[in-house]
Amino acid sequence: MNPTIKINQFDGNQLFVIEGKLSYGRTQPIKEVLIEAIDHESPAYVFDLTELKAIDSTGMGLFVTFLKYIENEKQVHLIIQKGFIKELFHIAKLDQLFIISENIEDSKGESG
Amino acid sequence: MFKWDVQLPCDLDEIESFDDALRDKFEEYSCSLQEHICFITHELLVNSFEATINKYGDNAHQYNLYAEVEMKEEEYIIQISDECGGVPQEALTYDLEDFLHNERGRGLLLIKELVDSISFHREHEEELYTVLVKKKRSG
Repeated sequence: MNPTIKINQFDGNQLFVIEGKLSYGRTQPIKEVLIEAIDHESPAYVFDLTELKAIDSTGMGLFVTFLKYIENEKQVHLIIQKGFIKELFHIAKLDQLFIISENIEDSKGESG
Repeated sequence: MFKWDVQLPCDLDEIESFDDALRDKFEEYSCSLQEHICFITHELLVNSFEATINKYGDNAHQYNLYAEVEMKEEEYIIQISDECGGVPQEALTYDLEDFLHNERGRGLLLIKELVDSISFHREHEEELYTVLVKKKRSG
């Protein structure tokens, strides 16, 4: 199952909705679309991963790569509801780089 | 309880099919750690796939990957084998923080955090290199 990406706006920030499985061998097309679509005027970025079915370490790396293409001080929110995916990001200590919320409304309140 | 022993061609689609079949198998048993076991198995298979591609290049499809997943009363045992010379000893000495800003490299370290034990073995007669992990069912 190849992942899909939709690009939108939420609360003035650029929103990326990624669905399906984000795993080794399947992330490159998503990465290319993502990097090409970055709105550098956006004050922050939100990834809605609510419909992400599964992820592996390569898929997680996609978000780290995204950080290299945006300005350092900008916040990146990950909306994750699935317990195990959230657990993986915490174990990987990626909650040091991203603001992780359970729903998109919460991400508004944590925008600092 | 079940034990599943499969031989896979070195092919990403085959790994994905195995991932799906393993997930279905765990659904039958209402396994609470299904996500963990499927993630661990997938990561180890991808490591073996990548090692096989790196070592044998265009001939990689001639080599197999071996997966053995066992659900016992007390624990899960996962063994993934390939013919690529094994994992360097220092691979587990790093911390996940060392890879915080890297796109790749955290797979084995994530596994180490998720399981109760991880060890590397070599079967000399068959030149097979195996990663063996165990995780208690109590979680």
